[in-house]
Amino acid sequence: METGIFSRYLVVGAETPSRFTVTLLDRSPVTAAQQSRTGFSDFRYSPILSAYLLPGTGAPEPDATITGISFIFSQQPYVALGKLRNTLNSQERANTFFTEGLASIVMLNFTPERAAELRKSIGAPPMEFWPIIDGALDASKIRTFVEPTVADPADWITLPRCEEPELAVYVEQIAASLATLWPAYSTYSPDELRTIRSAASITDALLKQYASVKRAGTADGGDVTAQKRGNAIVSALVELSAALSYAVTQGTSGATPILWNRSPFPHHSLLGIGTAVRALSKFTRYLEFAFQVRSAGKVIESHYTEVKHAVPGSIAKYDSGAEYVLPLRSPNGKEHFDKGGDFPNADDMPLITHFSLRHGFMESKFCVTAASEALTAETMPQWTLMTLSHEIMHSRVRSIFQALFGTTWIDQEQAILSKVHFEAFKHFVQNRKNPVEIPVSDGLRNVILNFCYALHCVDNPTAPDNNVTPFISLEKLAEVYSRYKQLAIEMVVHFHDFYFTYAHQRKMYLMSLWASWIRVAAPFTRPREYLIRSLATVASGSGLPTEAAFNYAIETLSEALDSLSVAAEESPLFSLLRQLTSDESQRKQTYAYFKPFYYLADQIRLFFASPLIAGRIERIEEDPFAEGSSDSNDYTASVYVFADEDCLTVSPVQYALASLCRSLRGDNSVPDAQWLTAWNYMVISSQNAQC
Amino acid sequence: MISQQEILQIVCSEAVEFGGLQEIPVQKHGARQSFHALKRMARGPEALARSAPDSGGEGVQYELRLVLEDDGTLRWED
Repeated sequence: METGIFSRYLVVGAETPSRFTVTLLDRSPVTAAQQSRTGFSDFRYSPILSAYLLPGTGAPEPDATITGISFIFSQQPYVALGKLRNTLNSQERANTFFTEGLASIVMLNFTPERAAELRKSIGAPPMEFWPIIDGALDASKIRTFVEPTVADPADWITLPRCEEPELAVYVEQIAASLATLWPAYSTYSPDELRTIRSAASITDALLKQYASVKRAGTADGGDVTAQKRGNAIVSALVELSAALSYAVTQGTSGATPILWNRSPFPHHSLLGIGTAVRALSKFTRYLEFAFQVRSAGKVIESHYTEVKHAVPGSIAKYDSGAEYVLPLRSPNGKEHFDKGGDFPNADDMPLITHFSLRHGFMESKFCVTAASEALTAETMPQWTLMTLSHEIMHSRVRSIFQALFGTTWIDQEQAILSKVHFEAFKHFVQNRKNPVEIPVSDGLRNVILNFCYALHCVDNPTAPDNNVTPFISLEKLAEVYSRYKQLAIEMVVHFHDFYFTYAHQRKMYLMSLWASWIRVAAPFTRPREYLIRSLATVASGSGLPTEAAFNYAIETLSEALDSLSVAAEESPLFSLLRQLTSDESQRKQTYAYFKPFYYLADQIRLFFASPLIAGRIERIEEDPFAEGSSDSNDYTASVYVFADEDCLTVSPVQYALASLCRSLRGDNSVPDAQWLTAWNYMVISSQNAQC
Repeated sequence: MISQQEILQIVCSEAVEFGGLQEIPVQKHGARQSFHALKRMARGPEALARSAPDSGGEGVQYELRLVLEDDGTLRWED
């Protein structure tokens, strides 16, 4: 374990509007601020992290006195630091830091000439230089080094406009955010310009749809359906506007000139969190790119409507089988999902990414958020970036449910469940004991409805002497679907996350899930539900009969909990989980609930596993740290190793997963969560999307 | 991951399912807003899952049931 001070804090206090006191502290300045009551009219700080650790020694000691600070706004700090390392002497290396802000590299006491020369050697990113005299900065002496860029007018987007009074306020907010983000992203995140274009495009599409809905509503003399549709469009615009506002405040603060672009994050108020946000985007884009090759919606609507399969319908008698077994790795094997032609996603809508203290890890139609705690403690299991993958998978699953159940703007029937779908379910139920071949799209919809109905039975068990056969109407089934749909969605998401992101490493997936779930409230309120979700996910693809699969999943869970305990991850919830799976009567009850979940997870496994997509996520042949293995324990990333090639092909998923593994093993070489967190973001943010 | 066309259609489905109410994270294990969302009942799990009467006629008999035995054990029957 290395020693020394890894995270320091660059603190700036305003004495006058143009004169600032600048200090470097070796711990959070909040205590110092409390003691001195600062006396500054403005007070900002950000953590800065020693870039070049010394193996066996730890973090080197920087100069005690600051005479100048160079802020380098590199988009690939991990690569830039790799290139710089051999040109720096030992004290210069000790004075070099990385950050979570847009100014991703900070160098102390380099002359402006030396810093400018180094800047050119790493592709001339923007740079800001602060001369410090007697611990103070005169803001008028700040120098900026920014290459003039000639914007191509053809690249500029057309901002959305709207004359409709009901929508104008939202559209103006969206347009203003896009206008702010465009120049900022042009300088600091050019890859993200595509996101801006897509946001403008979807805004236009929503506005057109609103006009169409309005016309139809007026023609009918004003009807409730049109009003509801209009409201849904307004809600979507509000969501989009809110996501873009976050992108503005988090993605552009900390830009040069630094003192004019204060960050809204109080503990990153000086430099912001631009690099961390860029890491979220890179992580998300990486997964989006992998899935782009096959649109789930198109596969369902074009391929699965043609392909037929005898999909099982009897949950009570469900016993899986060889067809469901997930091979360990099948690079040449083809699953159902990969057959039937090419179905690429044509007009991908990139998810906007940001941090949120209120929402934590969350997904909505237009964005995914990571918990703000992950800015400081990403290496802790509960705040790992790996949790983001679950949220990203929600986006994929939205398209699956839309293809299976959704209505469209041209549909006349306005129902949660259509009559056609109900008829298909009726036949499915009637044939469940001897399933007949039906289109897979119908089969998947019926499986989900069947699952929801089984959960209705779970909540409404019958007495042994009750011989009344339930009669299900369309309305009843729609009600049941509405009530339990969310759990079906979660199971589909779990399978996608387990299979694609965790490369179906069962024990690792359970360790990751439970290490994070013991730190949030919901699993404590519904422990059995969360237990069964996790058990059914890792049981899927085993091909085992239901009871054997249940036992197998429990064994795997037990091993995972043991390993977490060894890694000092303990929780009273673990005792409860063991009780729910070992106590005879509790175990029987858990098994009864497990059945429908296993049934659903297995069908999702059969029709959504895709070696094609999984191979695009693993990319183990190209990742220099993977060593040809998809096992996270073999991943060789080190805090002493830098990349020096522009084309960095580190898989953000593998990298984050390996980091989580090290945390769970208690194997982190640096005893500083803030440092490790910022390091991970620095590496992931440096991923080159073009490679 | 998801296309613009799909998002547009999802908005239409949400008009049917949620009547245009804003999406609020519920049932998410990490979401801090869950409690408030439930308080508002905007799109909580019960928001649209009202007890529906059986309409008769166009239905299906389905014998699947979870039997709660007198000793408290559960058994699927179909």
